[in-house]
Amino acid sequence: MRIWAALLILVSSAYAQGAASITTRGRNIESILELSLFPASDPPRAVMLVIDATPSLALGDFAGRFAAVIKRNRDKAKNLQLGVAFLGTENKPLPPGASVLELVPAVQAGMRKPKQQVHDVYAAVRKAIPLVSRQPGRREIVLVTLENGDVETKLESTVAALTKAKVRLTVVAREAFLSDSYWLSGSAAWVKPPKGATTAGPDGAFIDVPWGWLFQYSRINEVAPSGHAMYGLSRLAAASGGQVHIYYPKRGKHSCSRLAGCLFCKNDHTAPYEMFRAARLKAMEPLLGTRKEIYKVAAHDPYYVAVLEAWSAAAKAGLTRVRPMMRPAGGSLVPEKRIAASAPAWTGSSWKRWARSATKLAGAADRIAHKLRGTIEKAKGGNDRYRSIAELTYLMLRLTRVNLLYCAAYCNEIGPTHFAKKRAEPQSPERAVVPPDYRITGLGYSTMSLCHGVQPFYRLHLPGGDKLKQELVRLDTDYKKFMQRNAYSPFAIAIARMGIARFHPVGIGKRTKPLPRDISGTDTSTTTTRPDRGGGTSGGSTGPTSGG
Amino acid sequence: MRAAVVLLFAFALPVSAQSELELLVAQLGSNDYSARNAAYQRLLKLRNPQMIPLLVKAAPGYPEMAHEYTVILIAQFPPKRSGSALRKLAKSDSPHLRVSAAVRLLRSGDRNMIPIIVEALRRDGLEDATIGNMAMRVRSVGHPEIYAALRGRLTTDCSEMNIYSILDGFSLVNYRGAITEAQRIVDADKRSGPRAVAATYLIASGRAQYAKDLAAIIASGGADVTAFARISSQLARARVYPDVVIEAVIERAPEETNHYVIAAMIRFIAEGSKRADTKAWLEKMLEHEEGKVAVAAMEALAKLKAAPDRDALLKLLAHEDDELALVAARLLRRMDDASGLARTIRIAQASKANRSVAVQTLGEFRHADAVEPLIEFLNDPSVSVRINASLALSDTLATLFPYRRFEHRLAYDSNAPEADRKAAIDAIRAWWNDHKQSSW
Repeated sequence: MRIWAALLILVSSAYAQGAASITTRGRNIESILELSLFPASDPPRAVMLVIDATPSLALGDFAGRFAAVIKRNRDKAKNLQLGVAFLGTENKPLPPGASVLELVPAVQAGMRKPKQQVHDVYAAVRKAIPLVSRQPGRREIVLVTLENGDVETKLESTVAALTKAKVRLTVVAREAFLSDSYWLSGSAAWVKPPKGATTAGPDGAFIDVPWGWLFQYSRINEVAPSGHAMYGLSRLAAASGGQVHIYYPKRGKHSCSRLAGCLFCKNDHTAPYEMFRAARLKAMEPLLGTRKEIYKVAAHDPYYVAVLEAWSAAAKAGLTRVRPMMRPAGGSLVPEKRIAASAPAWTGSSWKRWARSATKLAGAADRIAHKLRGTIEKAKGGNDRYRSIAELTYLMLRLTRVNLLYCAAYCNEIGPTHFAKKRAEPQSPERAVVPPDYRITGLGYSTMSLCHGVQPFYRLHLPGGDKLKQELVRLDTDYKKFMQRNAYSPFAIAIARMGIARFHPVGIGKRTKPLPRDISGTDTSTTTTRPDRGGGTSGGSTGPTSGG
Repeated sequence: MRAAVVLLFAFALPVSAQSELELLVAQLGSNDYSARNAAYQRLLKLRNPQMIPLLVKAAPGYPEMAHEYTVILIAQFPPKRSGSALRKLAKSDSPHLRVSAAVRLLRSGDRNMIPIIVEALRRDGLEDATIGNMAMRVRSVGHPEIYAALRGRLTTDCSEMNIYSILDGFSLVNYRGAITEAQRIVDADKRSGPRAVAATYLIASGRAQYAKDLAAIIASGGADVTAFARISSQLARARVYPDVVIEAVIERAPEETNHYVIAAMIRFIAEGSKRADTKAWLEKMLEHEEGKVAVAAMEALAKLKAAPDRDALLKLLAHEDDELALVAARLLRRMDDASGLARTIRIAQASKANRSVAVQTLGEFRHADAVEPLIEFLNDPSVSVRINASLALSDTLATLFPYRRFEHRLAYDSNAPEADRKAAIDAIRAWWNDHKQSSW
């Protein structure tokens, strides 16, 4: 069985090219356009520039930069037949043939009113193919889309059409989040994708990193830049012999925690492990075969099989709110229809029940983690990315265990004191956590980011005493071990944006008046306008810069 | 008797309010900045509409620096009350007052003000300071007619400061209509500073050929601190860093004697250079004998996420220059290394000049060892040290005790009388002594 798996992985890796070898990072838009339109070798070429005119693209003065590149290279354009098409505008496409200088005003006009809308860039590529396929010489399409690579339509048909017409596709796109769960997690519940489209934003063929972990404020799949573009775009470029250039005009800024402030700094932390190293990105790159090919590879990968097992067990126990989106079947993986898992509810006011429940779950996390560790240690061969996912899953299980133990300690030591009948006023300058007439309805939490590692938590005054301090030390050992293999990669950023939970009571003050009805809140209609996900290249909103 | 007293006060109050207003309006025209500013703050707080006629009467006699204050004070009232007063000021003999009031009305939609502003800007015989002040007022109005009148001032007779101010303003609002004037300055002006700033404006406007002119001026040392600040900010805004200019800066830096210029050059290189040896160049600058230059180099390296390694920083931490040691401590702290804590405490205790920054840095460690020194600094004679100490202590305690909540700024007021401060400090110290060993 093991030999068969290794053989399959070997064969698969031959046809399933990785994303790292076709992806460039850190270039500015002028340099990307120069590389794509005026390469060093200059055979006769017909190039169609397909532009998804979004505000983020306009931010970097795309039209101005395009004009500068054309003016600078106009003498080199003898062998170039250039055309341009825009998405989301009614401007007719200009097929290759006109003078390159004439395209400058067309691009300026097309970029005049950019729209933050969901566009089907795959359909635009298919439409552009006939415009270049009849031209002599080399045929290319340059697709510039910073927001819409995650709305796929007829991916493999597009690949086939490109291959058949011998058209090479170069993509200029923003960086995807590692195993992005944006479309599934509810972050984009109000965005309406085009009819018949598959919404898929991860860098890989499917959401392979377990998510929905208990007591985490940010989703692990929506915080870490992956170093690569979305799977669909990378797949098109790889299959047609093209390239992907990662570009985003806004430079991301480091933020230790995505949704909250950092406990240990004012977001001025120098986190050296966030600088991507090319070798690590290459080792942990997502595969770019067809989805079916990749499902087979994953189904036979010892690490990923272990991840699926651990993820299912964690979801069953209530440690994650979602089950794996794939399940093994017939030597491959098949998508699950329903992925929601039942997570424990921390409502009511029973400190004892919460403490018991948390302790029980902590035991389950320990058992699942222990089993996964054993499999990771025994496994041989396998894909490096799946190994990193397995290690990340193990660490998340350990972290969730620590959080659950803190939850139990909080419920035993701290929570009840806020509501004790004979509680003393805190000594100044401390003040009461809850007002006197507060009625508890549940348990809430926030997270203290792990961006600075586990060690700074040693000096905090936390509940649980020495027993929990030992758990922290153990978590620190696991964290450092994880970083040995995964620092300078997206997986390091993913774990750094997770955190140790801090608990607090949730409730209402008795004298609180009912909130006024929010009329805008009753609007459940969807829109084609997508929200800004913030951040820039190699960083999303968390903003590290890939070393690459 | 009581009724008589009440009556007396009822009449006396408006009279005293009126006389206070008169006094403040007179004080607003003072040549002394602090007196002028104090009057402005007080008038802003009073928000008494009776000040409007007083201001309209007094404003033409004010120095130019008080004109904008006057306009803001009047414009705080609804248009019904303020409109006619501002219109009166827009007809004033003083061109600067005229422009200040007209710009305010133009911003509220009165396009009739455009010719008034244009006329004032084109008037002959204006003093340099007046032109500079008017350029500041119209900087962001966004009307091409006004910008055209302003660019008419860009002659070779125009003062260096006004050329900087006008071109910098144009660059700030992305106005690219002054190409001819800027070209004339680069070609004909004999002063190197204005030529450098004009060349920068041209480069930022897409005329890349002027990069050579700018490079030549920088290489010959023709850009002083002010000019270099304008150059670097304009290029940063346009996100253009021509290679020849970067080369010229790198070539010039070792010969430059003004350490402020070198520090600005370092920041410019860190921002714009794509050369592979940028980090090495910055590291070389770390060895500069002038502390401010080394500090700039270190901060630039940190910005590039290429801070010097731990050993180099530890070496700098032991440097006799406190400022340099503080930056090293800060950079180490940003790398999760608290080695600089002890030195920071020593600097805060010994160096009066660096105490405020050192206290601020202490707070950034979020470390229990910093708590007691910070409590001591709450009683420092300097108010800035006290403010920094209270902020630093609030942050530190909030981090160390994540399950506790504290009063705003720990119920300590850095401006309170000494006795009140002492009581608050005693309470904080007592709390710390009671809780420093507690589990949570």
